[in-house]
Amino acid sequence: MRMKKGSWLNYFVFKNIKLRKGRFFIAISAVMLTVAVLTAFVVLSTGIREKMSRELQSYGANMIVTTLTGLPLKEDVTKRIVSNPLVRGFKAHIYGTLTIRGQELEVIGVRKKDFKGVRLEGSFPEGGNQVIVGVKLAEALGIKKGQSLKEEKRGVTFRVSGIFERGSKADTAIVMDLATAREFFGIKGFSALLLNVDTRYISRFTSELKRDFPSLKITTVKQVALAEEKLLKKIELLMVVVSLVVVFSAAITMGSTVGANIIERMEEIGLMKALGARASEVGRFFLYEAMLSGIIGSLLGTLAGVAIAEAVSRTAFNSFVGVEIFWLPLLICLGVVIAVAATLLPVRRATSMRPSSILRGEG
Amino acid sequence: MSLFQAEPFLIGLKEGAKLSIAFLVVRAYLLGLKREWLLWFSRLLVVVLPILSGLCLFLPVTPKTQSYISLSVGYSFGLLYLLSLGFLYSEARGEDLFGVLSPLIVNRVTLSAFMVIAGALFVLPDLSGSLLYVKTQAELKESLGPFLNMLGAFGVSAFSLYFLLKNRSERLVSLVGLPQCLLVLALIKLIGGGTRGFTELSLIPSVQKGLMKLIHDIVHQTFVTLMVPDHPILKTTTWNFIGILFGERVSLWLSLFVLFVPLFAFVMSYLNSPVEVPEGIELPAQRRKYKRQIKNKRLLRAVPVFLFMALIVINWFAQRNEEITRLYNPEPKPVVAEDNKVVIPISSPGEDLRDGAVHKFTVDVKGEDIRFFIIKRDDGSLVACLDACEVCPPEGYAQGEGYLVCLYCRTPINIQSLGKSGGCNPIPLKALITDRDVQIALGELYRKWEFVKTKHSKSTIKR
Amino acid sequence: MSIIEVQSLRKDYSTAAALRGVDLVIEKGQWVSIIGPSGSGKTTLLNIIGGLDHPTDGKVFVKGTDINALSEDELSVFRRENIGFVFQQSHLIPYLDATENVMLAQYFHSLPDRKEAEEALKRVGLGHRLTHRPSQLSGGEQQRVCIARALINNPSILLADEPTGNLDRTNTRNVLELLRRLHQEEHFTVVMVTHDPYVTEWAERVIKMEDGRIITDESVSG
Repeated sequence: MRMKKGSWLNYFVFKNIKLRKGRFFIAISAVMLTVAVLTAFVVLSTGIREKMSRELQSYGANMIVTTLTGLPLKEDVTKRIVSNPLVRGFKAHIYGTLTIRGQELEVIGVRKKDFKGVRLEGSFPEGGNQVIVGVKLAEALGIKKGQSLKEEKRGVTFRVSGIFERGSKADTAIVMDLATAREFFGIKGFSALLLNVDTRYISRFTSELKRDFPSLKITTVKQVALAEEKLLKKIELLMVVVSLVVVFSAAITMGSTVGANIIERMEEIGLMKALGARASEVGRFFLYEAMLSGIIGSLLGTLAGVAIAEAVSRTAFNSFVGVEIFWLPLLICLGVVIAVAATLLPVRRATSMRPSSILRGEG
Repeated sequence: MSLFQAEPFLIGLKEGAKLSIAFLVVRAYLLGLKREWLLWFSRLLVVVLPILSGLCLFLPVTPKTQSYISLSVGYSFGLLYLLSLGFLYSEARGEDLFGVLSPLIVNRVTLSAFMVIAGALFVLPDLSGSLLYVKTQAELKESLGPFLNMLGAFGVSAFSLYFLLKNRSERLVSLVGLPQCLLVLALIKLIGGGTRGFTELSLIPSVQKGLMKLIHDIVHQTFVTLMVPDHPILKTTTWNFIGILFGERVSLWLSLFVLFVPLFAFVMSYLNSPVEVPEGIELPAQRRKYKRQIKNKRLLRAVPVFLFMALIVINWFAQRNEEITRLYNPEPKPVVAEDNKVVIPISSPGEDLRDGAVHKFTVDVKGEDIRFFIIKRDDGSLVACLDACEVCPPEGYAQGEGYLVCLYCRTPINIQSLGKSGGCNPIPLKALITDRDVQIALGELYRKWEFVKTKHSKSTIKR
Repeated sequence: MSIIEVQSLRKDYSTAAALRGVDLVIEKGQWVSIIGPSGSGKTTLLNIIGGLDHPTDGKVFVKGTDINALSEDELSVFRRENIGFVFQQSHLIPYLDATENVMLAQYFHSLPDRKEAEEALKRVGLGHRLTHRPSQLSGGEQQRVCIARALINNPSILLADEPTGNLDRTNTRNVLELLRRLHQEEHFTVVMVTHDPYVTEWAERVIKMEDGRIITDESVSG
């Protein structure tokens, strides 16, 4: 029976592992621990990114779309924008002005279901000529709920069905139902589209939109996006620092395990060199062993890491996080690289020694 | 206008590099064979081939030439790949190519002829495509700038690479056999191809598409011969199931299989085939040493093959992540006929027929809702077809990545091939396509729709 | 050209000098014994000839090659193709059986070949011990495995450092007789270091060393 060179390497290394099971397990667990922590972090950070951007969704629109010309957006254009999968939510607005008591006042037409997160005293205007007034404007003009307001240009009378307070600039505006506003101002489409776009792809979405509809004016609400980004960046920085510490300590564990292994096998190394093995050929055995422990450890580590991430996610977010398969091969490679790199140095030192100093058997 | 133009310059760099690498590979091979006299010949080729591809400039830049050149790039790659496979196998079986074909190949005429073919395969399509692309650029800018840029860069990269690698390439001689040489050329073509729209060579998708078509045709033919007519007998669910066979996923894996397995099989059989130790080496240790040397040499020679395999896997993996193609099936938009014809503007607010998506319409003729669609083909021309084919019940087509799929039998139809009639192809409509609109006569629509309907109802009756 | 040529070889250790100028020429096919008390420098000389150690000064030519001029890796390749070693301690890998221990030498030389390794073990009289671990073998048997391992790659030189140092008289005799038989069959050169005068009886040439110098160098006829 002839043996191939490759299979001999396998055979030799496996026999040795069998002899030194304990060492091998320590090496495996060092790699496993590292990869588990890294996997958990990667899974969590990608998961958190998604989670956070979903939670931050309730913060409202992060992009405003209008036309460059100032004309309203057409219905079909709106439909195509809104049907993009990156758009997580949208509100359509109609803008106009009412002249009341000699003043031009800003009016926003909005759907009832889009009018959320606002304290409203009274009820949302239901059809007819009803409006609600922002609290600041109401104070300034002394408008009360149930009062009638006369639009002076067109001579229409509106009834104030409520006073709202949002705590923003909108508190100086008048709000009416979208359909009423359309009719009143004679607008067919929408004045503006307030989109909530997946923050991760905001720039891509913007450029796509600009390409498809060159006549649109697109404003990103930077504040929301930036706040989100900053928080995520901080969390990620923390994770990177912890990961580095873990990788470093694993490399040391791995290195010392291999070091002990090598001291134990010094005689073998000397013998191999006497038999005519080059330093690299002796090192091959050790590196192969390290690679094996790296692969096994990384495989177990990714599994453990995903489990940890899921556990953390369940306690923190009360839900599971999705795992992006794309990362796993990379993490496994990383585990193998750590194992091999930590082995490289002690092996180099041992294999470059003179065999005579190892094999001295003076009688 | 600035003198320097980045794009043609880069194209020039790339083509120059390709030419000089190809020359160096061939040179290394010839030196390895000790055929120095052929070097003069290959030097001549280096001059002649660019001139030949320069002749392409006299061709008009139409979508047709464009697609022909793209095709020839693809085919030349395929040919190089298959040739190298063939030679790899003859090497793996231990029969040196020159053992089998020695009377032919040692002869300088055949070897030169072979080199002409390989060189032409390698250089001509790519260079021609790039030149044509630069020509369109030059026409656009109405100046010779792009040409000058490309030529300059071509010369610079060809010469600098040649002189840089000239001496190092000699070391490669031991590495490069004919199959490896061909494989390296195919590799360069794969990486270095891809001038937009002209010589784009996307390995996995094209193999995938070809396979999809092939499997479909085989399955289809089998069913056609087994039970005529096939489509009405089998239910949609059955077809959905069979459709998996020529779906994207199957062909994706198959394309990996087709590209990867021959190389892998070669490497395995090459590395594992027994070594014949020549007579005269008596000592067992010497015999072992000889075997080891041969095996090492084989390992070295397998390196380009390994590289290629790695590239295929990477390419495949990258492609795999991209394949999130959901079928796009828009609601048909109702249109109204005037003067016995349907007129659809090419560009209307919110809709542009040339955006690459399928645009479906429906028109009411004599109480029938007739569906048809208009789509831009890869070459940029518009084509109008009925939303039905001659064989299937008219369920219509949806759009996938680069093809349409019959919703009934899941047959993928290449978008470029739309306009052909027969079989599973959507029935083409005669349409007048002007700069501003597409006009289709009602009679044309009605006649073809009725044909589908009667055919379908007849076969249902038969059942 | 002689197979081994040593010219004014010196080796200094930090505490003392092991070799103080040794000149030696060994012809191809000779069986040379180097005898001397402990610390006479005989093992150092052997190690330097085998490329396991570097001299402080002087030159060593083995088969015409100046082995001090070789790099560590070139030296390894030179060893695997030209030199076989037998040590006092058998230095067998404990978790490999006898055949596999021989195959290890084949592996580093070129390719492992089990049949050939078994053949070699049969030749040293261990046909019944092929799959025994070193711990299951007697001292004499271990040394015979070592001889099979040292000769498996058909070296032209066998360097033996006290090969019988740990053996009793009967086993010593057996091992030496085996070596003599193989030496006669394969005509390799033997350089054997020992402190046991009995072992020198097998040699064609006996070199006596003391204090890092060669004192006597005599050919034994017979």
